[in-house]
Amino acid sequence: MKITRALPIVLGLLLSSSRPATAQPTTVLKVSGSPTMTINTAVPGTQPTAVTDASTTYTVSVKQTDGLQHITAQIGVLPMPANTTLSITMALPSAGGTGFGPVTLSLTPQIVIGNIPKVSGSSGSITYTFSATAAAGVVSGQRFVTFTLVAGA
Amino acid sequence: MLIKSARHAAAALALVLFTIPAVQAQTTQTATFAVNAINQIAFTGAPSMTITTAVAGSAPTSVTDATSTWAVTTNQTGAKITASIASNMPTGLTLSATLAAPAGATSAGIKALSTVAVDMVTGITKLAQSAMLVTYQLDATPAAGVIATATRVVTYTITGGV
Repeated sequence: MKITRALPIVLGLLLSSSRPATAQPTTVLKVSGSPTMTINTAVPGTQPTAVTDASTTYTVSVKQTDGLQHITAQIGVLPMPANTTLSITMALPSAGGTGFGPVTLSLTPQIVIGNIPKVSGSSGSITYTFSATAAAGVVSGQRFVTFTLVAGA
Repeated sequence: MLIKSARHAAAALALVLFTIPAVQAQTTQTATFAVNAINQIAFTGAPSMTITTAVAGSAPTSVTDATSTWAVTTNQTGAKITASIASNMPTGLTLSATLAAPAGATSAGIKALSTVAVDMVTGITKLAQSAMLVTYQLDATPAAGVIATATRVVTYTITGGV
């Protein structure tokens, strides 16, 4: 009975607290595009020539109340094929931050941009670099790259 | 009653606040990649050989040139290098070459060059290696006589990898 009476109040408080008093940017992290990279040559005597794809972008918005944010990236579900690496560099948002690129992607999330302050709808490029040694042989595949906006320390 | 309700509300709010994850937003992108078959070789140097002497009673003394090198990158298995020249050597003259083998591969040793491609190195597998020695040798018999300066372009080809 007490819980039943309290429930509307709790819900009311929750709803009222989620309504912004003033318009604030929504916390957002979006990416666009799908990078494609093919290695098909080498300088004789050296490892195959790495290729880059800078055709994709991201957009980030961070609210004042979020504090500093990090963007992490990781691949899943499988690691990259043996003797190949996929790395990314992300241009800093307009509000600044700390760039950690190029970051070699793995199954473990790693910070690509750190300490992003409040920013609204800032876009930047994502540059992928795919490299392989001769030992990799002939390979092909796809990996899902997951970008996550997380609270900074 | 109101106080108790407020306590419930505070407890519920605290629960909500403590269960907010650190993740603020998440998105995914698909990256597509490929490595095609790569077979690249390069040769450097322009060897020059002149036979000028002989041991009396023997054929003219052969000369060698070991100033050239070659390099290879392949991401395939079991590739080989062949060599040929566009036109055969004059009668009585033999131009031969020896290629040092990269790691794990096998050199065929000294091979006379002709218009028919000949295997020089076999078993080249997934490597990148440079600065390997190429040794040329020019042999002549007395029957060759005196031959004016001539050149041959040696064509090396990498084939056969899978």
